[in-house]
Amino acid sequence: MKETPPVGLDSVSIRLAQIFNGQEPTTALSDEGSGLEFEPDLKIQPLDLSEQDPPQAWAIDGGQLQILDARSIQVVATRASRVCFSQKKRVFEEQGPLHLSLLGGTQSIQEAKEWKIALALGEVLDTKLLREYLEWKALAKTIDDSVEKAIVFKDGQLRPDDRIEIDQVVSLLEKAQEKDILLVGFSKQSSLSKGSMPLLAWLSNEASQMFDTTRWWCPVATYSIGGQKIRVVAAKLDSLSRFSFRIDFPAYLDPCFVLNTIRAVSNDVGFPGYPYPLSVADQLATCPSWLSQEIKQLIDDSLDKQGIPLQLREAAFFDRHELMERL
Amino acid sequence: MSLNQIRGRLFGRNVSEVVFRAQPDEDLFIGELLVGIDEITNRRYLIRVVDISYGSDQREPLWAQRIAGRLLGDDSGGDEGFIEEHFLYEPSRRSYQIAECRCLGYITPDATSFQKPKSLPSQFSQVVSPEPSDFNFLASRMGDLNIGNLRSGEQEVDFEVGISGNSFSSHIGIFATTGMGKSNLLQVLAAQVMLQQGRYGLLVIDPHGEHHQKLAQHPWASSTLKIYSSRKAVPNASTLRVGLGELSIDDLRVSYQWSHAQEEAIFELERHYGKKGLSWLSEFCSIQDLSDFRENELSSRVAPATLQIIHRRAKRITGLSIIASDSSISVGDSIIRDLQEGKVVVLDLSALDSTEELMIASYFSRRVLDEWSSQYLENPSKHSRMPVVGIVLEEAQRVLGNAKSKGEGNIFPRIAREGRKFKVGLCAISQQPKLIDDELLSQFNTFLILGLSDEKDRNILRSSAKQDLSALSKEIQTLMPGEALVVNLEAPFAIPAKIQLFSQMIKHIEPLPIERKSPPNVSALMD
Repeated sequence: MKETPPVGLDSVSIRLAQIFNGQEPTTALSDEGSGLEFEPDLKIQPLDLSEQDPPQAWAIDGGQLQILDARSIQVVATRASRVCFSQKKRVFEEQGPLHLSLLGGTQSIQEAKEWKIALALGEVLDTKLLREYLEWKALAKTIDDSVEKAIVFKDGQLRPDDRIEIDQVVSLLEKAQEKDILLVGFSKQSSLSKGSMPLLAWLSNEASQMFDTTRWWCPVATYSIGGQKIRVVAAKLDSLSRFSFRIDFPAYLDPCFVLNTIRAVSNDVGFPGYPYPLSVADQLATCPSWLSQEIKQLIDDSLDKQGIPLQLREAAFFDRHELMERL
Repeated sequence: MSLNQIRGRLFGRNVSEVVFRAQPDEDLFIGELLVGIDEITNRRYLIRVVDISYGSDQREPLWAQRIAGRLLGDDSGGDEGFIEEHFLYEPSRRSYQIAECRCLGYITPDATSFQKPKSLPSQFSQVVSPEPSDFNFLASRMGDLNIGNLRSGEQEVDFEVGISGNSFSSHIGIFATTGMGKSNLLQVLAAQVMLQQGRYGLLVIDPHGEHHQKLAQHPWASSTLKIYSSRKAVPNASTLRVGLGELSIDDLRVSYQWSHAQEEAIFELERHYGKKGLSWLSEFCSIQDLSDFRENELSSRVAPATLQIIHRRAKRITGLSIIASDSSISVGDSIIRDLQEGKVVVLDLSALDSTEELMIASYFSRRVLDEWSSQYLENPSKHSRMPVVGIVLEEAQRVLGNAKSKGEGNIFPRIAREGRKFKVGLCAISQQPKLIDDELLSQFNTFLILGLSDEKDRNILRSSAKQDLSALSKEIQTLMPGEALVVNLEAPFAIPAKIQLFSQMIKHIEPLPIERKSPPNVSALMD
């Protein structure tokens, strides 16, 4: 039987084409709920090359995994991994312990207490927050461990989740500045937009029409963390890179210096233009699906010992999708 | 060879095929012998690398191609005219080598015996370089004719490799393309025979005169080497003479191409003259008027053109310097005596063309087989004390090929099929084993294989060898000059060897002892 085209195909395609053609009524810059102060004009500039080779390049990334889900309660696992490179060699790696949490309803409050996360009234604890919390803790440890003039990458923005105590982040930024450590937030994907048009895609297109060179950068916005000003730029750091990225760093630093320092560790031939240490941290932090099976078994063993019947556990957590016949 | 250095980790595949992963910079070679250590059973599995390929954990199917393309782009200076260097960070974590191996067997934990593979080594066992003691089990199987050292990939191992001199009776094949070291190997074999104090005899048919000078440098040559030459200017050589009456029609049939009518005519002439061997050729040659002879003596039973061809060839044969009409000056008996004494006899036939060379080779081979078989039948006691004799034949496919081997009267296939019980064997040298008859090749129990570039040649050896060569095609193809595989029934697998250089080998031979023990075959002659 021939499958009919999905409802709305034409409408969606036409609207997408309008976005990519710049035919939207508004083309204002935005990044939902981020509190960014956007540059009045987007000035795309060729990236002047200079040799910067940091003595150490650290990277921190987090991983998360849902283990059990009964909708009202969930068991999740999170971790944050760290890695350090020096002279293009991995000199340190720490996958980080896997943290199990029970979330949902009153359990989240209990969990927040155990993690010592101060939640304001009405705020909830979720996996994203747990993961980010671990990432900031790992970042703090890394600032302590880094040598002067090291570069430290954090996956994503430098702006913390609103639920994370800002003072801790501020003191971390100050400590980094004291040690002359370059702290960089590097986002694989960004919600920055110009109207509905993904901003990084728009900038890449514009840059390709403006310059012969294939390396460029563009100041996009700034934001403040407890008085510490952070600059947000979009940049394509390598001629072989297919993509540009959002990069956050303290605004007191010279952007070309920062971008060339990042470039010095973003020249892996497998993923040029992206910091190699960060891709390694990503690999370390990833929680593969087999890990979920392992942890489920451990929880099952424990519940068995505590006399919780299997039928009850299955009734709560069994994923009904497994019984469905899907083609 | 480095000890205990981990070369890889084994992860597959089955009892006979082993696959292991190695670091990208591990220096692996096809043909390398390695050991998989089973820590549970303490068995040491001997494995041989038969192929090496690239591996990567990257999920992207064309990852390696992409990386190569980018690095190539850097090599050419980039699109924008300035250098932007890229690196492959941590290559050892992102790419690796996969080594495909054959499991040869395992050494028992007490290191006393070697067993064919019937079990799997534990998965993820360490793969290490072998220790010298890992080859101890081979020592008793290497025979008395040392031809070189064990080879692992391109590395020579301090372990002597050889074959038994008795292998001559079950036939030895030496196969290689030009320049791979056939001549050196033969000279090494001959030199080893010369050291065996009469236990073996070797008749070397030398069509190019390349061996006698070399072998004459052997410190024991004065008493263990005999050279017969068709040329006069060869020092320390006896003149090679063969009586016409000693040659047979079979020798003619092996060496020349004859039509059926021509063969009939030869038999007609033999009947007409009624003389022994080919002695009638002298008389036939002297005929001036062939037409008259044909009409009156043969009653026109032979076509004129046929008779002319035989006449022309007969003149050529009788005109050869080594052919004597008087059989009493033949060296046939002398050569048989030398071989019975366990000497290496070199027949320098460089003055002859290949056809006549085959005729002489056929004659002497027949003499040897006749002598050894008659002693076997008539005097078993004496035969038991006679040495094993090998007959070395270059370009053996000429007489062991499909067409020739089926022809009646060819002595060489007969030796291949029957020689073993009489202690007479062939040492066939060929660049094209594919041209040798399959059935005859299967009679050869020992193959000494040097580099062979032709796939058909490798295939034919694979199907006839006494060990499994099915996975060694690449190894044979990539053998360098002097590198060989020794394939026989004694060794449990095809032994990789580095053949020693004859010129080096003879430097290490002590001069002949002044008082040598009489070899057993000499005492047999005294009887």
